[in-house]
Amino acid sequence: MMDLAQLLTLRPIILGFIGMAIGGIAFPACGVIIIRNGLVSLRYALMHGIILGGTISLALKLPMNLTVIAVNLILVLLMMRLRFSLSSSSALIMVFTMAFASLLAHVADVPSKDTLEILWGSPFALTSQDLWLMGSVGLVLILYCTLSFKILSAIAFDKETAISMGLNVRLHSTLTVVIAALCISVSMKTLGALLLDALLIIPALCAGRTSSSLKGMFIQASAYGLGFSMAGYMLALLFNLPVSAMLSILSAFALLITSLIKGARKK
Amino acid sequence: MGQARRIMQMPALSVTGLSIGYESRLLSNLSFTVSDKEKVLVIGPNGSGKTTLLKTIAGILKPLAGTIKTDKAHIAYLKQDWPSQEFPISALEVASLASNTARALKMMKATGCAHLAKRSFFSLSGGERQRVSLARCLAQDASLILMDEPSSFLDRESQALMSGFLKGPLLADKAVMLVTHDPSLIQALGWRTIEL
Repeated sequence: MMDLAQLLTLRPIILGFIGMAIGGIAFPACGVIIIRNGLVSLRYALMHGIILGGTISLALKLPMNLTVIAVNLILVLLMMRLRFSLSSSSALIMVFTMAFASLLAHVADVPSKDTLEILWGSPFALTSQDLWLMGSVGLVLILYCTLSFKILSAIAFDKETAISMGLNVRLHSTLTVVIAALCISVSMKTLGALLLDALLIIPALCAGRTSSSLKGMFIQASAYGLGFSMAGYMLALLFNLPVSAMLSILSAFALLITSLIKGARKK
Repeated sequence: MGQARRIMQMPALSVTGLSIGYESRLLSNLSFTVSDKEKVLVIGPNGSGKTTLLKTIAGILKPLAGTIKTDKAHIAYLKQDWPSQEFPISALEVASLASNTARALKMMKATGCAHLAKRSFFSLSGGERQRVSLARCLAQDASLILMDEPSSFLDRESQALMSGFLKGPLLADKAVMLVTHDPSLIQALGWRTIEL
C-alpha cells in the first residue's frame, strides 16, 4: 500500500488519475447516446479512424490528438454524405481506414511499438494538454446532454414522434454524431482504440439494465464509468498491470452481473 | 385583437390538392378541411394511405404535391405502435417529452395513469402505454391531435376506456383526426368521416 501512496505522488500517475476520472464521469453519456441512437456501427468506424489518425500523426510527426480528431471529423462528414445505410458506410470506412493505415505504416516505417500505443493506450502518457482537451470535450458533452435532455429523450424514444413535435431531428442527429466523434477521439490515449468500449459503451449498457428512466440511465452510466475507471486504475497500479485491460475486465464483469440481475428481476 | 379573431376562425387543418406516398403516389388530389375543435374519422381499407396521410400532415413525410395549411407548432401525433427496441425511459419522461413535468403529470392524472409515472414505459401494458401517450399529446397543448388507430392493440376494457376519452371533455377543445377501421369505434363516436 505504501508503494501505491508513493506512486500517487508522481506526476504521470496523477495526470493519468485525473484523465481516468474525467473519462469515467463524462464519456459514458456518449455511450448512452450511441446506444440509443443506433450509432454502434459508427463508433466501430471511428475506432478504426483513431488507428488511421494515429498512424498519420506518427508517420508525419503531427500532434496525435488533433490529427485523430481531424480524421474522425472528416470520416463523420464523409459518412453523412454517403447515401448508404449507416452499417454499409461504416463497413466501407473500416476497411478503407485499416488499409490506408497499414500502407502508411509500411511506407513511412512507423515503429510497431508506437502503433501498439494507439491500439492499447496508456493513461500514464497523458499530458496536461490532453487533460484540458478531455475536460473540454467532456464539459461540452455534459452541457449538451443536460440542456438538450428533452430533445435527446424524444429522439431516443421515437424519431417520428420527435419530428411531429417540430424538433430538428436532423440537426441534433448531426450534433450527436460529431460529439461522439470528439469523445471517441479524445478517449483514445486513455484506453486505446481497441478497449474504448469499456469506458464508453459498457457503463451505458450496465445502466440500461439497472435504470427505469433515461435520466437515471445517464446518471448511472456516469457512476458506473467513474467506478470502473477508478477501480481499474488503482488495481492496475497495485498489481502493475495494464490499465485498459483491468478496466475492461471490471466493466465486462459488471455487465455480466447487471445482466444476471435484470434477468432475475424479469423472472 | 382582429388578427387573433381571424386566427381563431381559421380551420385547424386545410388540405388542398394533396398527393401523398413514398416512392410512388398512394393518393392524389386530396382536399378537405378540419374545423377548429372538429372531430373527424379517416377510414378506408388496409393500404389505402390512412397512416401515410397522418404522417404527411404531422410533417414526418413530405407531400408529393399540394399544400397543407395548419399550425405545425400545435400538432400532436399519437402513433399506432411503439418503438420495438426497449430501453429505460419512464412513463413520466414519455408524457413530458413536449411539455414540462408538472403539466405532463396533470395530464397523466386526467388520463388515469399518474400512478404509473415512475414505471418504465416499456414495462406497461398496451392500454397503459396508450394512456401515457395520450397524456403526452394533451400536455403538448396541441390544437390538432392526429391519432392512428389508438385502440387497435388494446383489450376490450382498454378500448372502452379510450373510447370514453375520445368522447369525453379531455378532447373537447381540440380538433381530432383519427384513423380507424374499427366499426364499433366508428359507430360509437359518430364523427364526420373522410373515406380514402
